[in-house]
Amino acid sequence: MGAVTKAGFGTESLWSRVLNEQLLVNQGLSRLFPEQETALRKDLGLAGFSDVGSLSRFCLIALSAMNQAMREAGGAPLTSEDGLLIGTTTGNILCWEDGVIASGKTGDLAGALADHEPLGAVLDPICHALNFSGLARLITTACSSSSQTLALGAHWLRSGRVKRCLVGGAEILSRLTVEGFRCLQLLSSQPPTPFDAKRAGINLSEGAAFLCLEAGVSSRALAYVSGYGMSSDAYHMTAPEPEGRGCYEAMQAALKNSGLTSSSINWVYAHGTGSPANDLSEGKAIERLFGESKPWVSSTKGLHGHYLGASGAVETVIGIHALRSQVIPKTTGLQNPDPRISVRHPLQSLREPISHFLKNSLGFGGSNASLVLSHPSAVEGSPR
Amino acid sequence: MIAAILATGVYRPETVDSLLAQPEFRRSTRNMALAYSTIQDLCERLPPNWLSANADRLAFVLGTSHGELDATVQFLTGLGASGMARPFVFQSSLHNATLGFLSQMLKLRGPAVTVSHHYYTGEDALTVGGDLLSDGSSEFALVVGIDGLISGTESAFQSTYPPGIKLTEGAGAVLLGRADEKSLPPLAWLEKCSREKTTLSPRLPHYDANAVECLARAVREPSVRRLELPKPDQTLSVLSLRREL
Repeated sequence: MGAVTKAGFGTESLWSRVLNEQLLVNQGLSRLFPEQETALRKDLGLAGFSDVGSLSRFCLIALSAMNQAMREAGGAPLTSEDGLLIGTTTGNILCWEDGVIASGKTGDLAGALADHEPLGAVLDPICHALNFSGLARLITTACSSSSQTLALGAHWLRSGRVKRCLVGGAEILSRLTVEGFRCLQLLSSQPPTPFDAKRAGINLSEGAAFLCLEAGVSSRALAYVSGYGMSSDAYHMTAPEPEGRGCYEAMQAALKNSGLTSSSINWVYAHGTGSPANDLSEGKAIERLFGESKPWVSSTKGLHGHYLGASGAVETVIGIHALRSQVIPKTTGLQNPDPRISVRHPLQSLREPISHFLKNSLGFGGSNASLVLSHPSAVEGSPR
Repeated sequence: MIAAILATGVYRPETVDSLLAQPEFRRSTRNMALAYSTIQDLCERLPPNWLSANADRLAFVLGTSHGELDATVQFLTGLGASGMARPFVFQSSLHNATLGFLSQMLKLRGPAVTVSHHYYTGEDALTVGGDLLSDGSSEFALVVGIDGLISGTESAFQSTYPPGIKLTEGAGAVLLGRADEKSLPPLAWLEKCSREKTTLSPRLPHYDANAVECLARAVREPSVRRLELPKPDQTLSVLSLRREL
């Protein structure tokens, strides 16, 4: 696994911040430090990547997280028999966004758009930097994007289309996303408080996380993707279906795909953005699916904010650390649980046995994805 | 992949402006109207109400290269000109906005994925549609490839493509089913999407997600078994069709 966040480079530093409840958000945002970009260029240069000086910020953080993941998986470079799936909502937008904003005053839109490149074109410099010519896809299903990369990657492996698959997502904060969420009145200047009765909105973050998936059972496995499910709300462009029907169906599909029952899930690692509508809808879906089995439910976005298209991958990485440490992180900021959401919140981080957890990602457009992640000891003898 | 092609739809330019004048499209983008018009064409080739009757068993995959650039530009230029951010424009600015809008309009509740891959956007949408069938996520997959143009900025876009490439807008849709699908008679089977080097020039005019529309049109020609799509980067995308299983 690999990650680049404000917490640093690597997944351990991110997990440490979560475990120690150290905030990564400030005034509504979690931006990388400027010196981190310099350090990333240096690191990637030392790792043998060429032309790092010309790589965009988006490519830098994505490649760094990918490189970390490949190193941890044994260091072998990707071959044409492997796969690559990248999730993002805005990709390289910083390369042309300022010019388009300026054209609002100058009127030179055509000139500004000359620097524009289509979203999926970002696969080219990344594949080039990795010297990779295999199966590559860019998924841009809003905030479900990187969870969908895990789902599709797992399918490619199960079906034998690839031998290994690098999956994950990256997101850079842009004026479009920050001002967009602000004008929707979803952005809070205070750290988010998911599931709290007084929750006031989300925080936005930039970062990347990637995971190297391999087929079958391995003694080196950190965890297993046991199942996945996807659904659509078919309800609204930005608001979730109030009863959580789409989220329920994605979780149900993920359980079915994993061959597990709801009572096998020890922890639901919620999307839990801290927005009033999301948490209520998701909470109702969890309550309905799990009924009396009542797994622990928590969100870590109160600490690190919302990585949008990368959030599923970043939080899967955190979740895998939790699984391996057998610690369920609490929902930071949750003081007075919303009485309309009847789920079991850990008010402190808990040392509890976790065999399987379920990770939700719910996106604009009503696009939902759920993943079931399992501890290696829970899948011995039942390779997927 | 071997997926049955059960129905096809192509972009009907004459319907787009009238759609955009309708109240339910008041806040929609050109891409959304283009895609809706294409799906309407596809639905006319299916039994009545087939789409709504199968909405829960259907995956929806949308491929778009430039996405909702029109809305993004409106949002950003408005921000630059007046400092005002417009929420309804923002919600239409993501690449996923068309998929979200159409899922809502058509009440499609199955798995939904938006992909973008420059010249190969249409091909990726088709293969992801095939993935969602083969992994059991859905019984059918509605695949739409779409790219609109922002009027007045063609020359700027043109400059980001190799010389000689004339850009256009367009959309296509195919309904895929499992290879052994029996409930609807397959028109053909999509066997493989592959890529090779070429010296051929792209068909003109070009848009990045054109593979879905080209496939939709090719399926209607019974003799076509191999569809070759030269790309601006001197690769050849090959879609292999079977006319019988």
